[in-house]
Amino acid sequence: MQISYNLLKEYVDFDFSPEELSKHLSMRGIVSERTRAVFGEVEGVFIGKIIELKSLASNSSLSICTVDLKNKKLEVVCGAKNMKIGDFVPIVIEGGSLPGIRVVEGKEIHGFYSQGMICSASELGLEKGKSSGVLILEHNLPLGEDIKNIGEIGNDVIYDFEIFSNRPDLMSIIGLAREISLLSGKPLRPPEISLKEAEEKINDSILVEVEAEDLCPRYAGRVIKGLKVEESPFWLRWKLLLLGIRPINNIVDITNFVMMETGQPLHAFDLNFIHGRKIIIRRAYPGEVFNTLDGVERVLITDNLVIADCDRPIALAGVMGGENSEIKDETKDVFLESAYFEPINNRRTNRYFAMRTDASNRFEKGIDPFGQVFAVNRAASLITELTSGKLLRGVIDQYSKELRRSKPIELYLPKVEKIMGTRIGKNDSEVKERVLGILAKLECRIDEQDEHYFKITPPSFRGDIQKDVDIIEEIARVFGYENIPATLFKSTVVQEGKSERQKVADLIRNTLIGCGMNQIINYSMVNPKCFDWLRLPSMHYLRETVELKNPLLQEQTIMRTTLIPGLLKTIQWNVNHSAERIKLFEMGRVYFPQNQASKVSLPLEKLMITGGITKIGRGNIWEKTEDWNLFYLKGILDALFDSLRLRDIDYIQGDMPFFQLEKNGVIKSQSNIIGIFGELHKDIGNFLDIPGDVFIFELDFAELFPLLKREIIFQPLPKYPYIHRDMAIVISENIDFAKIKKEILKIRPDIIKSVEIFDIFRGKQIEAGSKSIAFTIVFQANDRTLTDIEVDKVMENVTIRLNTLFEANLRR
Amino acid sequence: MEKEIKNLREQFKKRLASLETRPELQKIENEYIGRKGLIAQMLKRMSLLSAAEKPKVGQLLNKLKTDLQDALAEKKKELAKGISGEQGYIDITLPGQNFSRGTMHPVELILKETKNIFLGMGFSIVDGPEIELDYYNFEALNIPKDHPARDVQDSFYITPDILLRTQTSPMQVRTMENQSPPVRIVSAGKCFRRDSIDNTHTPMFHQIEGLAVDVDLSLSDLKGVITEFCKQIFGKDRIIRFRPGYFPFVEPGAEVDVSCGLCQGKGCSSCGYSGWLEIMGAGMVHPHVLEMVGYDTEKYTGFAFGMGAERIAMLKYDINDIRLFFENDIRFLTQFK
Repeated sequence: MQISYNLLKEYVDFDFSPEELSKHLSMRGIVSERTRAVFGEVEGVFIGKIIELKSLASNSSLSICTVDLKNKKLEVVCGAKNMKIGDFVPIVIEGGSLPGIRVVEGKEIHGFYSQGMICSASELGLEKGKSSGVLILEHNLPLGEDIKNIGEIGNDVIYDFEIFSNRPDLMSIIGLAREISLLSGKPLRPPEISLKEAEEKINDSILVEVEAEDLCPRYAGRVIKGLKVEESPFWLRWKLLLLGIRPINNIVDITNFVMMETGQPLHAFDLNFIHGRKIIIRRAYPGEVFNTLDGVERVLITDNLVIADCDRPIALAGVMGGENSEIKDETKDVFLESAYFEPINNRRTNRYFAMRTDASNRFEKGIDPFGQVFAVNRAASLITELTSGKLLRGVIDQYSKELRRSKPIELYLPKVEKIMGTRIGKNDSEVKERVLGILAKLECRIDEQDEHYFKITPPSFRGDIQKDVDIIEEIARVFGYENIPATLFKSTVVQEGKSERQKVADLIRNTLIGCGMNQIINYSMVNPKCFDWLRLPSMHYLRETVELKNPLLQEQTIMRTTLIPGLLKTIQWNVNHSAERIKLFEMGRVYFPQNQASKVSLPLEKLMITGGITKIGRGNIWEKTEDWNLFYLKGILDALFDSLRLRDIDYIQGDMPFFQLEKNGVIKSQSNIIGIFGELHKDIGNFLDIPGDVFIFELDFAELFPLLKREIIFQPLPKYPYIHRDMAIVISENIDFAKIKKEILKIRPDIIKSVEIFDIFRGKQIEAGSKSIAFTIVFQANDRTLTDIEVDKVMENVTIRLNTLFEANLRR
Repeated sequence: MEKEIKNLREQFKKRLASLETRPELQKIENEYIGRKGLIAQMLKRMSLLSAAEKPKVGQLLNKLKTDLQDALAEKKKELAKGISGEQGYIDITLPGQNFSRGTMHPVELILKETKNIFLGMGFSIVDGPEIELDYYNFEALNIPKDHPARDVQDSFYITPDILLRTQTSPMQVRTMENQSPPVRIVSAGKCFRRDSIDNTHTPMFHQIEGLAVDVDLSLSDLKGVITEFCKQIFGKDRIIRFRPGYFPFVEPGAEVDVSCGLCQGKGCSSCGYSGWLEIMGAGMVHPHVLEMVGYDTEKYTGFAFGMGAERIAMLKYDINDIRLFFENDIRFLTQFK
């Protein structure tokens, strides 16, 4: 809501400076998003009078204006058409400045040197878009005076208040003035209305029939005849500019001004285009076509409420008028409409047509259901004052018995202080007095009262006050939130703090960070095309996605089922930004549709932990010898599982299509598949222009979490020394080390503590299809010192066992 | 045996040439000239030789041993050259080997700090679904269909009844449905709004939400908790201000501002010349919300608050573009050590 300081002052005579006003209002919840001096960005603009006007010889669409500035005369070229000799205009001289023009320079225009520029409202920063002509000022302003020094015009301050959606009453001058009255204690000064009605009765000119009473609980109107449509006087145009509204003509300007003044939207129809002299408020016929004022043809549905005459709609109720009955320059007779339209339906219509006007924005939030007649009378009095129009006798005012009346509210004073958490007076009677004062200022009616209790009816313009807490908020607002003390909890509550799941998630995150990985967060919405470049076949389970009905971006239409595409895209981004050592992980949810028939069953959400590494470039003296391969990645996984005390992990060959064949695996523990890992398929790396090999893992938190053991089980330190023996065997290529290790451990679980591989060798000396594996076996007993002889014996058994099982031979 | 010595020398040469590390060198040294090394073994076997052969082979073996020792010493020097000079000089200004810790995402960092502060005040952390029922996201929070407050939370829908949550507030209702007062929870996580992307808007962001319900909670308790939080997260120098605000699920409602850290409240371009920055919405839980979960509104009152993690991070670290959080540029991420 744009409004100016001086304008507000006309309605309540407060003492605050412009800065104080802004501060006080913001502490009451009314914040100005932008505050500016009316001519804050303007320098060197003076009042001039046009004393000569001729067209430019070289271009007849331009004029040369001679402008009198009292002590000098300037000749300027002007492209506007709306000025005439004798008009007072703002003129910026050479060296001055305007919003968007730092320094105005004199310049040659079609062979004529222009010494300045006559300004339009938009050039002065007072109107959005391009004004239709220059700004014609009031006559008799002091010539040659800097516009900033012109009394109430030059010194004004413009605010742009953000109004909460539950306070449509504040979207008006009177509403804001009422609020200022509340906090300054100065009385509100609403406009005085004087109506001079003619003999002719309104009912002879127009009849109103409200068919859809549910959607139009109140409809008021007046008729003015014999008026003249012309430009509004300066004072009205100026006020509209201060309110951020473009002046059009006197009739439209008055309806707009009264809307801004009272919050009640008005609409003026050309009476002579209302067919059959009858107005019918009804639901639209399905498929009915109607051209709104903005020149758009609208196809209506029955949810839309229309103002119609005997033949056709003439307005989309509460949203926009129609081309067929709009006010034109030739209009003589008008019907003024002032109605209350039901908010929810109005809102639906706004949304259906995706249009919002100043009027509809007020209707959908709910205006005062009792303000129609006041507003239409105010407009009628302004119209008869400014035009020579004749106001017909009588006012149309049709309303439904269902029209919302505010319900009484019971307010207990102890509750006020309980909710606020502070005393608001020294004693009960002072509290009561204070609350009474606030209620009076709020224009609440006190229906009943005793020492600690009020029964209150809020005013009709405060639809937001429905419960006692709403009134308590009002009291707190006036009391000032800043005056409420800050206290900490009086009682303690035993809550569980973090859950086990949250603690484990924290541990995983910290471990991965400890492994040098940077955490990333990607959007949950992804592009379905990612499944194609991930090489997933058409029926792959990761393609079963939750889809957005109304996506915002083409590349974000479905919910992700894996974090891998996002991770790869992030790697790509960083490669493109010259990163050379990339270690990233994300912990976030994936989403799968639930197949139950119920329409309220939510998708399945699973927390995934996904990481990837790639190394590009040489790195420094130490880094150059680091090999970031599949086992580097596995090292990170080992560290992670170790920190989780998850010991029995199996890696088995996997077949995910986005991995290089045979260079990937499935991670299992007990019978749960807890994740996958592998080397990214070269085609994907090529597609994403990632030059290095990429290694990825993805873990499923829900599978991993139940396997974790909560307690640490202490093992006493061994009392007896250990013995270790190296062994090298030649064995078939297809026997994995994990298998060999498992078999060796089985031979003497009581004394074989570990089997660690330290070398794999393939070469000339080894027959094709075989490999040489070297490992260390560590022996230790819990009850005695082992002897070489005993260990040699076991080593022999190992040799035999491996030979029997795998045809492995000792390497000589 | 002379031939054997010759072979040994050749073999040694080859192995020495191909080795690259000091442990390998050590291994070879032990293997050849160690106490039980190959040369030592051959010296032992000399007793089997004839007296005529002995001196010659002995000489050869001695020569072999010194040659090998020289070669090993030479190689040792060569290997050391990478990091140290002739006299064993080491350039201690060379970089250390890389063990650098990774980084927590700045949003996670804020979530973590925030959770810790509230944990310290006796709150529990709860998690909820990111894809939510319209009922929990809106209706149970006093935002029925066709309510104007839905405009500022334009939503992504999956079905007419299921949407991506636009706020973490649904967890208030879910928690209260399953727990009787007292309640003290914080819920944090992803939220989604159909906002076009610019430097202050992304369609996904993170919210932190708190709720406390008990027999005696008031606006002053809310002020106390929030003031404490702000002090801990922004530091003691920043001033906090409460002013009325509107959110359908609280009444009285409040907005919380923190003084601008750049201009110390004097007003600058980053705070829109107001000296203040909005950081959260808060208020006393609306009786409708408590009624919907079956709480006795005569007995219990509660307060709730919510804030955007990205916004807090932007204010705390002076980040001017929210999009940076989701670009995940390593040069950005690694600043949050």
